[in-house]
Amino acid sequence: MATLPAWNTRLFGCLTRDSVGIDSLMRTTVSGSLPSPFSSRKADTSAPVQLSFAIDVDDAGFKAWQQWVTYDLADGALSFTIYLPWGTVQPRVRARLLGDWQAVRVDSFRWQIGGMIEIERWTLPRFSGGV
Amino acid sequence: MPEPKASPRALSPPPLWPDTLPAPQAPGFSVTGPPRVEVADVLFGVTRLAVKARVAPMSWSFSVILTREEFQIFEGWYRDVIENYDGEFYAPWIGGDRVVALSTNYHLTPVGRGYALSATAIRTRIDHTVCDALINLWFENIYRADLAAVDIYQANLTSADEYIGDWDLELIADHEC
Repeated sequence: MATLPAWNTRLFGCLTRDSVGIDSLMRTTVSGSLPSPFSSRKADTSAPVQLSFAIDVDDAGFKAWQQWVTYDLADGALSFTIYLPWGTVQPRVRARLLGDWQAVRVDSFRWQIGGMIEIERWTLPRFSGGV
Repeated sequence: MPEPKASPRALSPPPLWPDTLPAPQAPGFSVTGPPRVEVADVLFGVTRLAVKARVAPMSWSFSVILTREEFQIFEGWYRDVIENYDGEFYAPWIGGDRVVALSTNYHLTPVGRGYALSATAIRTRIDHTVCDALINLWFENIYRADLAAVDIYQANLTSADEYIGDWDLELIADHEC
């Protein structure tokens, strides 16, 4: 994991609290449609965690973001590492960009970049199902 | 399509929603009762209903505010629930003998220094032992009505005023419309 590119905090900033949502994908299979009865079974316990984010960057940050995604991440094909607050700890987790990302011009100097990140559960601490 | 067979769990009763976690807050708490029937539109008159399921279990959408420590407790507990109990648990704030399981991803949103955790639970089965165990814990015993009490009416089929198996056919015919 040490050789992976890292989230560039100096240029992209930290993920802010009001722009982040986390979805813990189902680790069980629930028969979710009729006919009932519904039943729940253990399924993929390594199902990833998805994080949606939006960051606010200036022109230099936006250029750096494009370079980072294009070259460091090979257009999003490679994984990267990021520090994620998770419970009382802040582990360094392995993540990848999921799907497309969007950049919207906020004003003359700023861009808002939004997208989705998939976090590999095995890199989360043990209490959440990691190793 | 045949219904999936209900199979008894080897590990019972299921784990309880931990005492160390708060119950869900009222905002964002909703109960949904799905229909057992499918509505068929008709050209004239009232719609027709077709029964499609044996049961239609309720689901509960909830949102609970957790501190970082409480979220850690939740994740550790839920991981145990998944690995050892197929995701089924009992929450006193749902109650009523209903064993539930999360039916959607749980969603975390940062709130203050903690998290707001939102999810939906759906009833998977009824387990009378879990509610009884909680009542025993809180009230020490359960009063059960004695069905052998003398004021219970028991049908006596030899009594002339109750036996209706030998109505005269002519009498029935006379009273037909």
